[in-house]
Amino acid sequence: MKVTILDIGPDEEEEIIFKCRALDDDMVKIINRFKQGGGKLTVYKNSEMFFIEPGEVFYFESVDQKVFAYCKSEVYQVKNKLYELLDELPGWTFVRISKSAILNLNKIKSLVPAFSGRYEALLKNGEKVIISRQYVGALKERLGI
Amino acid sequence: MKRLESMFILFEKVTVGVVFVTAVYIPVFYGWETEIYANILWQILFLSAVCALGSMILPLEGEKEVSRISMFVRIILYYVYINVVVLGLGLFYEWFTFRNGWQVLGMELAITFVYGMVAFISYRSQCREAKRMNQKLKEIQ
Repeated sequence: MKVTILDIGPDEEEEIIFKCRALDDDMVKIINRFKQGGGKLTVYKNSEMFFIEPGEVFYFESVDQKVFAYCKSEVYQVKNKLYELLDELPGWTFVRISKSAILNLNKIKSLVPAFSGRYEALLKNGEKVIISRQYVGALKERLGI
Repeated sequence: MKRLESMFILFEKVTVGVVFVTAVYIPVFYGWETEIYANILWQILFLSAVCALGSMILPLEGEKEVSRISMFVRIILYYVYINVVVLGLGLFYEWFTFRNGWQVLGMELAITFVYGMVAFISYRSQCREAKRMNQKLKEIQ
């Protein structure tokens, strides 16, 4: 792929133009990454927009059609759907743990068995999230078990 | 395939439990000198197989999520199923009679013991799995 960088005048607005024959998956990922500020996540809180590192997020949860990013002590809203996040986030770090949540593996302090084949993840900020039985297999696979 | 594997593992656990409670039940209710027929081994194997078959009511790992209440109801139903199977087959094989209240109590204790033992072994297995996952997490973090 050819990369062209053009010098612009001080009054001109900075702009990225993608020239492609078709918008394939790789291209969409690159565009989304630029839209999100170079690998950072665009999140919202009290009508304000913030850019945060995905690694800061402990877990994402979908509640009433809205997706929230839970950080150490702050909660932000994310405009993406959970399946979109799964596509864009680093695959080896984030894993789906239920129909409504994605968990950052780096933020897990420990896992303990819970009722009916589920597991409970104790996070490094003291929060607890449930890993649904349906997704335990995928988690084990990710961990190489 | 996964279901069959799970039922076979359960069958093994139940068989060990039933052999153990039988080893206690027979001397208690029939004395140490009692002679038993070899067919009791087949009866135990059949009983364990029927008990394991009922575990289809319990969802497996990776299967569709069920609610906490639904899971609780399934566990209760499975316990009732085990009682019906063990008491029904026990009566059919003449292991006990309802006329002897102590024998009925003995059967109930045996059922509860095996059920509890299998549940405890399964829980311990989950704990070991969690330990392995925690170890792997430490390695990647």
